[in-house]
Amino acid sequence: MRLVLEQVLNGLTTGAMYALVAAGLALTVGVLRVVNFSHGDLFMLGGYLFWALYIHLRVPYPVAALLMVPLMVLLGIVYQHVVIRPVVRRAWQVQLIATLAAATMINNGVIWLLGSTPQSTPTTLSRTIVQFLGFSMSAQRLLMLLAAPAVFVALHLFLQRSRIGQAMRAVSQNREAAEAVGIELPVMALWTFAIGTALIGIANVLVTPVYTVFPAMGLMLTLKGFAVMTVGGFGRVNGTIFAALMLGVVEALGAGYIHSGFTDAFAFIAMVLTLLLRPQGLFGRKVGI
Amino acid sequence: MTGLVSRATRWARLLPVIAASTALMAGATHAGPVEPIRLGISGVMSGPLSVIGEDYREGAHLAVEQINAAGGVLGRPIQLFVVDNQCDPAQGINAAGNLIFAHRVAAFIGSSCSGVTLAVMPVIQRIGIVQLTVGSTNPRITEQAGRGGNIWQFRMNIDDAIMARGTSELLADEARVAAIIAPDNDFGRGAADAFRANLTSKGVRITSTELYTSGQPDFRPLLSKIKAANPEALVVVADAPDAAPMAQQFVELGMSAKIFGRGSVVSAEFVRLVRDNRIWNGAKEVNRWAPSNSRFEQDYARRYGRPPRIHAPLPYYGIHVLAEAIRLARSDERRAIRDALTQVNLTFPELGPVRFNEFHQAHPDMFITQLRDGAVVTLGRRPSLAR
Repeated sequence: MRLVLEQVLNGLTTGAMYALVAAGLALTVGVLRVVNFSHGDLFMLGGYLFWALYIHLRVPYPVAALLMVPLMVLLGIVYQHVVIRPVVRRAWQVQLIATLAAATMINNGVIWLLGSTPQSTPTTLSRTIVQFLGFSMSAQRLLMLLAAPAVFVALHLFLQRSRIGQAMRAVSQNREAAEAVGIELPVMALWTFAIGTALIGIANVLVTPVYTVFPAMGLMLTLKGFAVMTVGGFGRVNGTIFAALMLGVVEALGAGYIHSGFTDAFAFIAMVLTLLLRPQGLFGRKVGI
Repeated sequence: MTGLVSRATRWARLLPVIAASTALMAGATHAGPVEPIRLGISGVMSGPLSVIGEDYREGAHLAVEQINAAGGVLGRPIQLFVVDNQCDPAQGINAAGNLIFAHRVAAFIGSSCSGVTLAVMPVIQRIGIVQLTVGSTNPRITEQAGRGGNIWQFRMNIDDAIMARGTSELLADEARVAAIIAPDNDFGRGAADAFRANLTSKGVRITSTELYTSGQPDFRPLLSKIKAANPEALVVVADAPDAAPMAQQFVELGMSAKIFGRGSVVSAEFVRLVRDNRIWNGAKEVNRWAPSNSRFEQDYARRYGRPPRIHAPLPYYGIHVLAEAIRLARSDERRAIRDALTQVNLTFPELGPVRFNEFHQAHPDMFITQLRDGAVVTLGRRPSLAR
């Protein structure tokens, strides 16, 4: 029983990482109907940015953490302006090619500038071992477990209660009607990517210290992001978060009790089963986030 | 008539001049740029293990530069072509095709990834070109090479059957219960099988063998499962980019098993990534090379501004072995290189003997290394074959 609980805890921390990354992806799909294939590579870029701040420039962790969010927001705004704005009203094939091209350029750009050698960013928190509910973990991982739900609650409240959040939801439900009442799509696109990359920045601050960063890491994150979004409901932020946490737990329990070699397969098995049995996803609705 | 005879005589007098001029021009053409000897290297240039590819490229380039500075081979410079196999068998076949058909290499150094090497072996047999492996360790490569098998495949490095035997002797002295964790690819599975067989034969009980995907961020589910069985030792089959987060999470979980590595666990790259000398301090590993302040290491440091990482030396020596084969063959023709490799008999002081047996497998020495306070210490060196 103790091992089961430990695996659930392991899974929740992995799931939290998936959720922080995939929530931004769901937002982009839900509001703009754009499938961003470079989302995982933006996370990778954020990881290198954190490494540059914390290891290379020796910025203290709290300061690096505070800087990461506005820096990633800036990155998101630039990305939206350069890659997304020209294709936001175009066919999905054009959007796919544009974001795939962006992913390749980001990936190769990092390799060209920094090489392909992995980098690590252990912090004081990641080296401090604590006991939580009787289980041993690093303080960094505990921070991840506690901060991630707070971020999700804040995101939910923002989308439900703020004017910008309501406008984003309006665009996700009916783009033309939203524009007819004066909501500007380009502004919503900016906000969507700003929030999406802010979430990535938070994920980098919490997650990067316990893993290594390398240029090719973005692809699997993007693919798993799509998988959890499919399971949770395409474009549904809350559904995506729930599915991501669930996937983390399933992967941990699967590795522990079925076969560790299938860990990556669980996400895609879940995706295929969802498409077969409930194509709209667990929390899918016909429209809106 | 007289005019014709006169014209013919004039041409007859010109013939020697024309012949001499032609010979001179031919000689001038022949004295033009020397055709280089084209060699290739297939490395992991991208992905989570790309540090290996960088080492391959740098080690091989250093050898090529030194050989060319000394006059080349048969008076011809070596031209090196580097391709990326991404440690993926399908990409590896494409990369090999690139070397063979686009770059028209005479021979090439194969991937460090066993899956790629095994996938490329049918290709080299069909085409007829030597693949000299200096890093892949799956025992099946030798089982399928040489007499009765793929006569174009050569392996310079010792394989996992040999290294598992050496490591198991160390482990069996210190523990009676062990677990194995390995990547889910040909390298990992081959190593895990070799360790399981050797450890079991020495009376060590294996609690489990866990497989991971190279580059995966979280090892805690696997480590939690291993921890529950409480092994005294853990055999970690991993290169440094995977071993580093695994080690950190091992410490997070409060695990205390003794570590025996296979890959590049005991390496400067691992120490760089974990950034904490206490993590897996005392880990042991049997490897194909160990730092010894050799001439190669000094040359490497001078060339690249830092000491070589663990995967750099073997491609360096591999280029020298291919150069020696070309010298013996007096030709860079593919079949001649293959035949000459069977005659190569070199000894590198910092590596050991390189002589290919009937299965095209060489047996340089193996090195027992340990991590001590952030440094890689060589505990011993022994022949990989009983002599």
